[in-house]
Amino acid sequence: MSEKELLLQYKTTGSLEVLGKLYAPYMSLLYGVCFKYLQDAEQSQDAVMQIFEELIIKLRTHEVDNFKSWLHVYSKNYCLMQLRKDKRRPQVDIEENLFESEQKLNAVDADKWEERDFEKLEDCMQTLNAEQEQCVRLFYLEQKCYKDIADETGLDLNKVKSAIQNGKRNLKICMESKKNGK
Amino acid sequence: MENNYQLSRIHNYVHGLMSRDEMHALEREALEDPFLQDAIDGYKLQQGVDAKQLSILQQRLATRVQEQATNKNRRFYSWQRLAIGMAAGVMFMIVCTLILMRYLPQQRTATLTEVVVNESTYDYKITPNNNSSDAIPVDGWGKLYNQLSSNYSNSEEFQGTLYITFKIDNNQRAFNISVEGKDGVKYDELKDIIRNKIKWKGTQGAITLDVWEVGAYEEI
Repeated sequence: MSEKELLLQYKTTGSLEVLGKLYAPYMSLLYGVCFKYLQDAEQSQDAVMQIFEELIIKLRTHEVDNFKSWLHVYSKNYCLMQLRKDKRRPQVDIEENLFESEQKLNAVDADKWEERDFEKLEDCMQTLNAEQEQCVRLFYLEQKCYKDIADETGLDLNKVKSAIQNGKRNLKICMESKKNGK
Repeated sequence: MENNYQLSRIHNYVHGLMSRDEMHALEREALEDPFLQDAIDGYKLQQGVDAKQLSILQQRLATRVQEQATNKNRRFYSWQRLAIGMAAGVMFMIVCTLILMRYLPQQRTATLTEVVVNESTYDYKITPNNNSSDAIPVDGWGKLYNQLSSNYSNSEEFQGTLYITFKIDNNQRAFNISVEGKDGVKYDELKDIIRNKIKWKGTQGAITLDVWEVGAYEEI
């Protein structure tokens, strides 16, 4: 049964067995997400169960289109709320989080590309700062992994990651504005 | 299944067990899938995937799902109990209404009887004075008694003994009727019965009539 069918079935029956089937595949990913924010094994486990409890109510009333991304955003918010309650502020990179919420737009990334677009892309690459441009080139064109890029550039691994993420976002914005500008 | 595959990839990635190409592929995937990226970040922080923790989580979920099944049963029973209670309540109301419906009309007839209660009735004893009378009612003495019982209201409320004398004409009607009882009472109603309701044989009549009250009816 597909996710959509399971969602619908749960909404009509309220059967936890159905919701369990829907939820179980995501538990290991969810645990990772929770650990990222809560940084405590015990708390993360409880959070995964607590999120399930909240879904029991939420999914009966809410219309959810894309369960996976909805679940991701929901659990992230849950963890952040949890941290706020604990008054223990983590260092969450705002840039990074902002980027991730825009990520959904990338779903329609696979538009047809024309010759012009590649020229535009080259122009846009010039607008990135040196660090971002270098990392994006190495990652997307030379298909190197973060570790190799870090070794090659002498940058920190996390720096590489955010440089690629930010570079990708800046490129997207640049491409979009060029398209609309024309 | 897919989930386990993804988890082992994360495990290999975090522990550096992947080839460069595999690493790049996963990183690229994570760039498109923030959920995956977050999870990788989390496991990196934890420095590895702990399968035991995850199986505990799976177990907790299974227990939680089981819980609802038993809860559902419990709720079902209490719901059933509620329904039985409600049915009993409805039955009780119906029985009450039936009893009331039977009881109320009875009360109404009871109040109706009260109207009759105070009316008193009199009884009579008719004694013909055979020495000075040859009068006999054509339909028998019983006819006279019946007339008195049903038609005579005794408006004078007389009790005691009355002496009645009369003569009978050719048409079998009584005339010259005189009633001796209480002084100054005319007994017109009684005379009317003797004159008009009864046909007589013979020439003259002399009757002693005893009147007494039978008492009030308690009930019909």
